[in-house]
Amino acid sequence: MPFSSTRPGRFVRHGWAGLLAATLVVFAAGWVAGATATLYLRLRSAPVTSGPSFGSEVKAMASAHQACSPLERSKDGDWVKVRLAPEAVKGEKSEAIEGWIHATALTEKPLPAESDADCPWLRDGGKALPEPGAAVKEHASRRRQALKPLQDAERMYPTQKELEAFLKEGNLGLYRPDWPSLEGGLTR
Amino acid sequence: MSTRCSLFLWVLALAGLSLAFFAGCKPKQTMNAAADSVSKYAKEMGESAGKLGTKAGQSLGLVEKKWDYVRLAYGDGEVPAAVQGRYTVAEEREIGRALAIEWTAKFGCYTHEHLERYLNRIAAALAAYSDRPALPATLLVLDTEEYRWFGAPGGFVLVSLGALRAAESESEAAACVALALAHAQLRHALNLYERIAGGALAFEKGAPVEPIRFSAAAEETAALLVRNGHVAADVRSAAREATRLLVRLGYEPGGLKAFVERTKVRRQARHPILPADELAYCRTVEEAVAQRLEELHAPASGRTLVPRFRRECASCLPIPRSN
Repeated sequence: MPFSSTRPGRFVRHGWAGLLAATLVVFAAGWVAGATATLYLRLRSAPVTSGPSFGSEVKAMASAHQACSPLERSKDGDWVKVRLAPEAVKGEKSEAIEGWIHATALTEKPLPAESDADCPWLRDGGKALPEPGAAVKEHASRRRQALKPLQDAERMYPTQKELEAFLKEGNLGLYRPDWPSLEGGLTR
Repeated sequence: MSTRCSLFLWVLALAGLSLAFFAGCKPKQTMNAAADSVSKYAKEMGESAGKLGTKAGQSLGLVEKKWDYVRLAYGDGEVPAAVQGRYTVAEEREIGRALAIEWTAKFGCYTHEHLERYLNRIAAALAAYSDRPALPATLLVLDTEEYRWFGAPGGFVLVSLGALRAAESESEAAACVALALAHAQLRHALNLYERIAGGALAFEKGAPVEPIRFSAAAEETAALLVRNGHVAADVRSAAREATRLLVRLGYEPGGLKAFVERTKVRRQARHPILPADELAYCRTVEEAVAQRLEELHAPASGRTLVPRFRRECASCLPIPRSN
């Protein structure tokens, strides 16, 4: 008989320690998973505000592909309090910034990364774009085309500030009064 | 202890185990500091276990759909994973410049600083809300009354004067730009360019290793796109992506459909019988837009921004040349 009258009791007694240990391990695993979830900014830029509303003070502007750690979400679920790594916030030499970003500007899945290490044009606009190389210049001269109109157009790529002003004027993007609320059933 | 009792204790313990796991998934600010010290291996194990547990919990209705709310409203993009990261932005833009030179050589380039600045902001706004926000958008106006729009690698967008004239609002102009930008972002012209070049191009310090092949493939790709346009599958996916961008920014959701319809009507006014490929193109776009709007549960209306369009664009267009 595999289980005598004493065996189940002993097994249960000894098993409790194992079960307790397993509980702690699984709890820690879930705890780490929950605590270290990383979110990424999915727009070119988004304001990091001091409170969960567009009207709150803007502490910094987060840039595309930026990773951040979520800390908490607002009651209505539309905003996420995040911590941004200090080196990721260009122009800021302070410590890690904590602030609120609208949840629809964030994603769990990192965007397909552009392989350039840094994208200075996101902040500084067309003037920071790489110049045409020798092959393009040669191609243009062979086709008897001036490069100037092309370069002029490239320099018109707006800076972060110019773009924000353009969006604000037209009530577009994050400045839309009807920017999808997550309570509104548009989260697909 | 009876067998039944021990079985009950085991069930109770397992239930406790599950509860402990789901409770552990809850993110807390104070936990971040502790989590930082956990080794990489433990983190990976924990993340996998956490995801599995959260999914199981969600399916059972035990756990709130924790991070679902951070997914983008209106769904994910269609940037194919297979072509990611083959070129840097600078390299992709070199190919795009070569194609843009080809098209401006064929149609001419219309330069008007005010108009270009305005259209470049529309293109940049669309790119900023796309799935490749770090890819800068550059717009050039082609000096032709034909209805033409092209998207070249690296975020180059070329739109003809004829196409701009067909638009009656900013949302329609943005629709035209979005369609070309979607082709650029989804690398349709780049894929064609690579097929023509016989494979991916090698770059060294930002310059193509084989400049003759680089140049010849650009010439051939640009000519082919002028002659035949994109294949139907590319047109469909670009129209879907363009619709998503317009909806996300808050432009009139049906702007693309209205714009394509208007160009068709204008063409028919000149040539009552349109070629079958042009009709097929319009039909493909219209169907893709309608389908995407339904999928996105898009709002019925959006911003058309007619006054701004008239001020910034329509008043800057030259008097049309008679053909």
